[in-house]
Amino acid sequence: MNSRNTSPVLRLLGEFRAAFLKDLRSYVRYPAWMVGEFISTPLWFFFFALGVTLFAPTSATAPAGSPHEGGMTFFFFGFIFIILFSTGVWGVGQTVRNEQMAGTLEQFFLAPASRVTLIIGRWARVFLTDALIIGYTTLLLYLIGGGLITLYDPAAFVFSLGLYELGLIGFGLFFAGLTMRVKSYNTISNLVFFGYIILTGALFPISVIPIPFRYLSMAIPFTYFNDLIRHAALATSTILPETLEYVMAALLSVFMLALGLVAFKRIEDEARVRGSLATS
Amino acid sequence: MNLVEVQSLSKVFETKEGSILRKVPKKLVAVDKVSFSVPKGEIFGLLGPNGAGKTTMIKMICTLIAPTSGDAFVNGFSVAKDQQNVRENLGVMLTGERTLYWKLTGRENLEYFAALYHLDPLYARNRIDKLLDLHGLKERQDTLVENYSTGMRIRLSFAKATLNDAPVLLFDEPTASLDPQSSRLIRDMIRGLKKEGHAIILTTHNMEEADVLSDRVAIIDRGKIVTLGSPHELKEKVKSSDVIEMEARNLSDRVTNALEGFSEVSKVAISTDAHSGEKSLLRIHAEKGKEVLPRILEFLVRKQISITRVSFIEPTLEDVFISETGRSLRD
Amino acid sequence: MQTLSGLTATVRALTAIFWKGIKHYTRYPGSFLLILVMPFLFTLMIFGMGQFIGGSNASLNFAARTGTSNILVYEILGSAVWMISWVVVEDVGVALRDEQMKGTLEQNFLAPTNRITLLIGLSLTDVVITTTVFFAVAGATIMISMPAAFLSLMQAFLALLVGLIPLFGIGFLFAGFVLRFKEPYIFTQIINLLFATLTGTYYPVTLLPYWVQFLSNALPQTYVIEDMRQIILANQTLVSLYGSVFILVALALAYPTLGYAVFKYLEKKASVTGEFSKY
Repeated sequence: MNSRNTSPVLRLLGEFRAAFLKDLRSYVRYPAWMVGEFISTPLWFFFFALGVTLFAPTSATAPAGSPHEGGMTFFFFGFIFIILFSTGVWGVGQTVRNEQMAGTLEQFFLAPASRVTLIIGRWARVFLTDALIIGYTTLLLYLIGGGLITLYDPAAFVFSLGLYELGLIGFGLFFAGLTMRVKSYNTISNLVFFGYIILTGALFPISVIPIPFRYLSMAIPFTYFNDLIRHAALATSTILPETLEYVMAALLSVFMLALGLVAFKRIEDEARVRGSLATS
Repeated sequence: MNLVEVQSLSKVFETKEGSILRKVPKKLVAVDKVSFSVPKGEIFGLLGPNGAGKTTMIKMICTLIAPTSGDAFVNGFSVAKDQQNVRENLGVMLTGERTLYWKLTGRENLEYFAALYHLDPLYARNRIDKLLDLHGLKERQDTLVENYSTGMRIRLSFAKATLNDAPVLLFDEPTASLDPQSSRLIRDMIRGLKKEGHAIILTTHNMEEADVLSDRVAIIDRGKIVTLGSPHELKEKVKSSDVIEMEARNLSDRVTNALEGFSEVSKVAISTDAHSGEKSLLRIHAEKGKEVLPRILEFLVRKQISITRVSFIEPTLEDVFISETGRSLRD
Repeated sequence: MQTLSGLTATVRALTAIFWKGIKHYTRYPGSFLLILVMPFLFTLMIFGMGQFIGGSNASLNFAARTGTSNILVYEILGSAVWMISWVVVEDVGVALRDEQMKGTLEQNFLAPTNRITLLIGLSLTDVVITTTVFFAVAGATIMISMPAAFLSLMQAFLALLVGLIPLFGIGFLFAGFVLRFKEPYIFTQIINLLFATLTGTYYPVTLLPYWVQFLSNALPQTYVIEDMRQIILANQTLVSLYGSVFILVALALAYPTLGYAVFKYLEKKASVTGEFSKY
């Protein structure tokens, strides 16, 4: 019997499976966290939705058929984007930090496993739980009379979501590396998160953002990822011509993934030079 | 054949110290041009006080820390250039009980690491069964590690280190925080691994452990190897001197400096009692110890030192350390 | 052996804990930046979404529902109180959890220091700094937008200070849960979110169903937020809002008493099961 898997594909799959299972098991064994996430996530949506309704047309200010009908659906997708993006920042991005604080990061780095496996394993678990949370919030919304959220073009939606997630993994890798380098990662995480919400058209179209900041929005890849997902779901118009935007988003997502891999490796090498893999 | 070759390995840490407004760069030499080799079937001990550089050395060999200069080879693979192959050929147990996943069971921890070490699933299952049995963890294999005792966690860490049956094994203070019985168990296992032909590097600040377990010992102090040899060889070096050990009170550095003024006395080391914080243990290396002892006692009594015990002892590795560095291992 | 007793001992213990916290805080200056911008970030989110939903009539729609067209002040008051409330409620429990993770909780509990001193002391640094900064940020915004509102601002600050006392009581309650159940963050996240939803952080409480308003009326933040808005935006005074102030004072007595009682009960449970050293 061979003691080792020699096929690189089997090795990677084995690593990924192990990392995913490890993360899933740890997650379900913190039931407070699990229950808390499932309660708090939709609660965030309802809380902000209530605040936003103050601005919604009254019978006096806008008759039926107002161009801003469907605004709440727009906002619901914004809520989805927030969940997905927070995965990148706190789910994937702080994988390394969490392992460091638990004392297990060095054990992982001792093994001849692909560094990225740890990140991808965590991403897979978080994506699974996010999907469940989004699904059940959609159901909850329907049950309280909010209407059923439907997808205009499911295939395009899945493709756009795939591009988003690819870019997100790359971003998460970069962030994971950053948390090894920087002590005040929580501050950076929060600022990046808010920057995403306000600048990338997550909760409101970038047309609402004042002109100078709008240029900044257009330089952020996530603006296009968000836009394409919404376009596929709600048939909204795209920022750029549709085909161009798809091509650009595809290139950006691949580029982000590559950049994330390179950045993570470099930061890991730097941590080895500084001897700070174990430092929390 | 040498399974481990360390060649002039050095590590210099660069830090910045000072207030938030003015940081001054500082360099700390943690390991200074260290060289040694470990053949198959040998237990090589790295003995030294806290902060001597043992853990930094181990971490460089297992690729967690990048060397500043020099290189080390594990089963022929360079730690500087070929880290993945080095990791395939190493089994490592780092110090501390927080090196396992507390929300996984004992078995799940081993399964996880087996996958990271690319073990064939069927082989891994059999190996894990064997290791859990060997370490007395079979009955608690499905209990979360957070509910294990310290001893169980350390045994599990040990099992994890031997999971991939690597030719080279590194153990960093493997018996720290263990009771004497568990420590004996771990030492027996290390001896068993040696018989299987593994090359083993063991770090410890426990001189008795280094003495009984190691085939050869390198005494390390301030990043350098001060002496290297088998425990017997090293102790023979200081056997020319008698070693007088005294327990006393009101000892001070002035007194020890004055003792070195005796012509027969070659080295004096003073160490502090862990409980009282008072300096209380004196080790004096002297030629013709029995002849010089009465004069030493008279001197100490005159200095109003209160002596509670005097004995002649066989030199230990601690005395080797004292003779090389002038300090006690306990300091 | 000389020891201090009574009030001197308490003050000295509090001071020592406070300065330990300050030293730790200065090593993470990034946190200051976050505190400065947080109230604006949430306000900006709501405002941006609101502009999209309401279009050119967004401000009119808002004014029709709230009685004021000063969206910025209305929302930033809610933001500031929410943030402060979050910090106070969370920090007591989190400070205990931090000590547990570091392994120093037992050392703290071994000291002959009153538990209330410890609970308040461990979180005091954070609470003082973040409360000051959040209020200063909100205050500066209000002064820029409404320069004549200085006296109103002072009255609003007084209402906030009274409102902090019952929040500490809720914090004690959570500290007890932390000792027993270990994970504070998710508890406090849910509770603080619930509080924000129930207490009219970004909207009048009257928007909520009647039976939900019943819950809102049991929470101190409801009165603090509404009083602050009334004082600053509707030129009311603390005297004219005496009913609401009276309720706040009553809550300031009730919550700390209840919260501490729950904490002591859970502490006793934790000592039976040996929870202090577990993390």
